Amino acid sequence: MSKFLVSLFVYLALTGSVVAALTEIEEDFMQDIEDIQKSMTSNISLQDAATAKSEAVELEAMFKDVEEFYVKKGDAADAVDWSKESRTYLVAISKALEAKNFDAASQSAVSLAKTCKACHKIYKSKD
Amino acid sequence: MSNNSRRDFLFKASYGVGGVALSGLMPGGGLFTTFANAASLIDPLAAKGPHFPAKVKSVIWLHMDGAPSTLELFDYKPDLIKMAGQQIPDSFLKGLKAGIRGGDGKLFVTDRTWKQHGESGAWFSDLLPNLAKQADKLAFVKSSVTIGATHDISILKLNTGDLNPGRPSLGAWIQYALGSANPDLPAYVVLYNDKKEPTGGSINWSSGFLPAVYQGTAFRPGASPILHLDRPELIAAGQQQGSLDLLTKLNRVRGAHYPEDTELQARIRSYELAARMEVSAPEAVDLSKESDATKALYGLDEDITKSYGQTLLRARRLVERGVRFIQVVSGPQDIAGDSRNWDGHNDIEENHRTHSKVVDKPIAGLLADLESRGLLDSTLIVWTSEFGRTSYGQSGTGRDHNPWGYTQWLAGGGIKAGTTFGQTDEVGLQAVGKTMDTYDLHATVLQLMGLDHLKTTFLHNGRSERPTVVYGEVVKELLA
Repeated sequence: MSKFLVSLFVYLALTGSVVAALTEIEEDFMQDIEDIQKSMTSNISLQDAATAKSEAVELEAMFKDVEEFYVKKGDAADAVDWSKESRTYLVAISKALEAKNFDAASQSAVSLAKTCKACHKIYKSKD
Repeated sequence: MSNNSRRDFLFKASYGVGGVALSGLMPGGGLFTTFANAASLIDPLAAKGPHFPAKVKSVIWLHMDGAPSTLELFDYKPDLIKMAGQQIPDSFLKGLKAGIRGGDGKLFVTDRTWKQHGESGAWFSDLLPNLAKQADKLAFVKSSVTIGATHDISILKLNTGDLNPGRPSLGAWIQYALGSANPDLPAYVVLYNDKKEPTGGSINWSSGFLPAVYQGTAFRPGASPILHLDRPELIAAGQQQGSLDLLTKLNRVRGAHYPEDTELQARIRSYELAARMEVSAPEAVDLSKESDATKALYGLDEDITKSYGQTLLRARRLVERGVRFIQVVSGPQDIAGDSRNWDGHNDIEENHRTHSKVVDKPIAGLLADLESRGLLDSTLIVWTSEFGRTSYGQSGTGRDHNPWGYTQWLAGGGIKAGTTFGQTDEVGLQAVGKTMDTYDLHATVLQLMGLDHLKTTFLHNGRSERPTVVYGEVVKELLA
């Protein structure tokens, strides 16, 4: 009986932590991503390569977390792919900014935004 | 606050030094790096050069208010006809959120006949016999998508790219970026044929965070298109001219003391423009000199087409006078309830019969008239709506809102006429493959006007803003 209770406690704790992570990603984390993305797009337009690049690097790390979240969640191969695609665009943005190629950085930022939109269509509860 | 600093503040607030300040940072010579800047400080509506040679000089933006069902007009779906009356299979609903899916009726069709027209073989239903004759002038987008919400919100997205008020409309961006081609008329005019303002109101032609001078000017139906523009009845023309002359003289005396005061110079110009518009605006919309043949082409000889036909004939006259962006909202008819516009939640058969009849002949007439006058190559016509309508029925006789896949079309200069971009699934519910969102449509329109949407920017609250927010791709498949 005690073994059953311990197992139940572990199961509930694990389930609870997953739910908490999901809530965090949806309500705060993704909003932060959106805000930084908008700021990065503006800084590319303003040709502030240093700030835009630091934001691209920050976003790339955040999308790594998103990717890991969907890998753990399971049954979300498309979301994993979109996360990977987003990271690829962010790496391209960083490289373009290093080369001061703001046109290329802008184009990649548009592709990144389009990827976000595709993912939101399926996984965002409210648009 | 000193006189100088107060004027400086007013100037910055009114005329958006943000845009000018930012423009100096534009790469590769940018939009405003040349001292067109100086001209725009004095006159914010001074003509400015595009980023690259424009394909068209003017845009006629035909907003079908209420959202027509393009399943009844252009998007022929034999499978939908075969499956009518069945529950929609779940496979077609993948990715749609139940909360915004609306009434889940059975697949639904109306009593349509379909034919292919022109060399392009474009499909048209029996509801648009006149437009069908212009088939080869059109480039269809059958995979349009947007964000579906209420009409007001989705109309706002259609015109401004956002779901909340505050962003400039597409016409405002164009007026900001290119200025005016005619000093006697606004460069951005809104036309409608109802007794009251269109759905959603003036936020749909707002300048948003751009200076207010770039907002659209609504021309009301009737002989006097602009409110308060006419000389008051009890003031003689000579009296009014005397007042304006005195005002100008006083302003110029004041201006001589403050030559750097561009706000005052802009105000003098706005008085002058208003005076010129007293003559030019009524003349621009006066149809009395149009031939009977032209009037008949637009349907002015039939009650059901007269009102919208007059509006489109006015649009053509504004194109001839160099107006850059003409936003035409299809006007509600004198019918109660949902059928006032294209919003066919109920009895879509009767609704779409009426509204198709209202616009079919005038739009076909507009295309033919522009072509015969040699204006079609320099004008872009966009047939658009806030969203489409569902393949499944609602309330037994209507259709609900569908932002996931619907048809819009473009025609005119720079457009690959007679083509179709994108498609919907077998029942016409969702776009499959490449899609076109509002931002992509805006980017494409700007491209044809000679503007790079990524470089059409304005500094607002420290952030570089553009018409397409963070999105937007030019739909190259639509370009000739």
